[in-house]
Amino acid sequence: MFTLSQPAVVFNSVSKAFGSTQALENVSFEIPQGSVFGYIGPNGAGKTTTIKILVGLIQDFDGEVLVDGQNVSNERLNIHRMLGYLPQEVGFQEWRTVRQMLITFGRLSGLSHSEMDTRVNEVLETVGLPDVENRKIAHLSGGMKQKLHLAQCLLHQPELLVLDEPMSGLDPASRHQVRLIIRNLCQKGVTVLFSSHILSDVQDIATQVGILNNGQLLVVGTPDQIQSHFQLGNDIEIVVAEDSPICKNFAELPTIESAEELSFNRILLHLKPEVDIDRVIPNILEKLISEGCKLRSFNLVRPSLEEVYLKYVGGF
Amino acid sequence: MNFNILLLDEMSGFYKSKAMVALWIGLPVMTVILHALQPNAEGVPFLFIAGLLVSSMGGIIACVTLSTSICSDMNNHVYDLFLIRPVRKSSLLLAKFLAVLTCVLIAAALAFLAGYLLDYWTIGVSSDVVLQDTLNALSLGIAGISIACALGVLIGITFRSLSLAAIGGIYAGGQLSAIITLIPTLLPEWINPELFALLICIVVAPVILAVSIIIFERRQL
Repeated sequence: MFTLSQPAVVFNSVSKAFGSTQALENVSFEIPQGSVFGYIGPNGAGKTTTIKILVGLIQDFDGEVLVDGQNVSNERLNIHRMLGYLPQEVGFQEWRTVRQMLITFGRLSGLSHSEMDTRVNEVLETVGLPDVENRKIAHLSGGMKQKLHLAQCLLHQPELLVLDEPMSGLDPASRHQVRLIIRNLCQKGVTVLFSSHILSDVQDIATQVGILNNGQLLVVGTPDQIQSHFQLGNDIEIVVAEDSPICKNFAELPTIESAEELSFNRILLHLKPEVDIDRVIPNILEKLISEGCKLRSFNLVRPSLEEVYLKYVGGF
Repeated sequence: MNFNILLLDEMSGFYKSKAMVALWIGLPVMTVILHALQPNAEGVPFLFIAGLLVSSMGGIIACVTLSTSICSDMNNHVYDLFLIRPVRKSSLLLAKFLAVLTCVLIAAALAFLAGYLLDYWTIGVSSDVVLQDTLNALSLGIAGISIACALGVLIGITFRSLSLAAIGGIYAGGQLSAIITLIPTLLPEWINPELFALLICIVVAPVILAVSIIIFERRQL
C-alpha cells in the first residue's frame, strides 16, 4: 500500500516540449491518496502528455514527478508494480483472445498462476465482459475493447489507476458502469487520475479537478472550490404554485442582473457576480412573500463544471 | 522472468497468427515445388534446392517479418501496455528477435530435412560432397538469417510507415541473402566457411541488435 503520510502523486514544475511546441509548462499539482482526480482540458492541451509522463512512457522532461514519494525517472519498475494504466489509444495483436491477453498482462504484472484465473474472472465480471473471454479481440466492438482496456489495468489490483479518456466510445449504461467502478475503487483507497471530455462524468465522480489549457494548469481544486471560486454569478430558480401570481419585477432589486421566465410558474434569477448570496436570499424571499406568491421551490443554482470549464479555456 | 513470458507470448503469437505454419510448411513445400518446376533439375539433389531456397529467401522472410511486425506494433501503440509493467524495452525487442529467428531457423531446418528425406527416397543416401555443401549452405543460411533478423529489428524501429518498413526489409534481407551466398566464393581457401558464418553470427547480429536497442530506448513511443 501507499505510504499514508504523503500524496499519491506529486507533479513539481513539470515542463515538456516536442520540438518547438511547448506541451506542458511548469505544471505542479498533488493528488491525495484515495482521491479521484479529474483532468480536463481541450484537445491538445497536454493531458495525455501529463499522463504519459506519470506512467513513465515519456522519460525526457523537466521537473519532478513522484508516485508515493518515488521519482518516476529513477524508480520506473517499482512504480509500475503499483500502477494501472488505460491509454487513450492502444492496439492489441489481432491473434489474441480476451483471456490470453489478460493472462499475459497478468503474468507481466506479477500475478501468480494460482491467482490468475480468479483475477481474470473477477475483472471480466467487473467490467461486464464475462461472456467474451474466448473471443478474439479483433472481433470485439469498440465499447467492448474499451472495457477490456479497463480490465487489463485492474488485473493486478493497482494502488494508482491512470485512465486516459476511460469513457470514450462507451454508451450511457457502460459509462454509468465505469463511474461505479471508479467510485468503488476510490472507496477501497485506490487513487484515480482520469482525463475526460465528458464534464458531467468528471463532476459526478471527481473529488478533485484540474483544468489544463495550452500546457498550463489553470486551476486545481475540488469541484465545489472551483465552482465557487469562479465568479460566474449564481442563479436562483423559483417555482411557485400553479394558481399563484408570479413576481415579474425582480429587476427592481439592485442585486439581480436579469430574470428569465422558464415557464408560467418557474423563473430563473441571474444574480450579479459580486453579490453576497446570504444577504440577497432574504430580500428575494421577502419580495416573493410580500407579493403573495405561493412558493413551492427555491433553489440556488451554482454554475456547472461545464460553465466553469468554458470560462477558463474559452475565455468568455 | 518477464523476458521468458514475452518470448513465449511472441512464439504463441506466431503460432496463433498462422505465420509459423506458413513458414514451417511453406519452405519445405516450396523446396518440392521448385524442384518439380525446374526443367534442369533432373539429378539435382533436393538438398541443393533446399539450400538455395533458404539462403535466398530465409533472410528476406526474417527481415520483412520482423520489420513489419515491430513497425505495426509501434504504430498501434501495442507496446504501451507492456511498458507500463515491469518490462524493459530491450526485452520486447529481444523476445521478438528470438521468436522470429527461432521460427525461421526451424523452417529452414525443416526445408533441409525435407530435402534430405526426398533425396533419400529418390536417389538414396546423399554423397559426402552434397552433405558438405549442404552444411556450408546451412551455416551461411543461419548466419544470414540471424543478421537479417537483427536488421529487421533496426528497420522496424526506424520507419513509422509500414510499407517503408516492408520495402526496407525486402531490400536489406534480399541484398544480405545475395551477399551471404557469395561469401564462399570470396573467402580464401584457408578460411572455413562454417567458422566464418559462426563468427559473423556472433559479432554482427549482436552489434546491430545493440544499436537497435539503444535507439529504441531513446525513442519516444
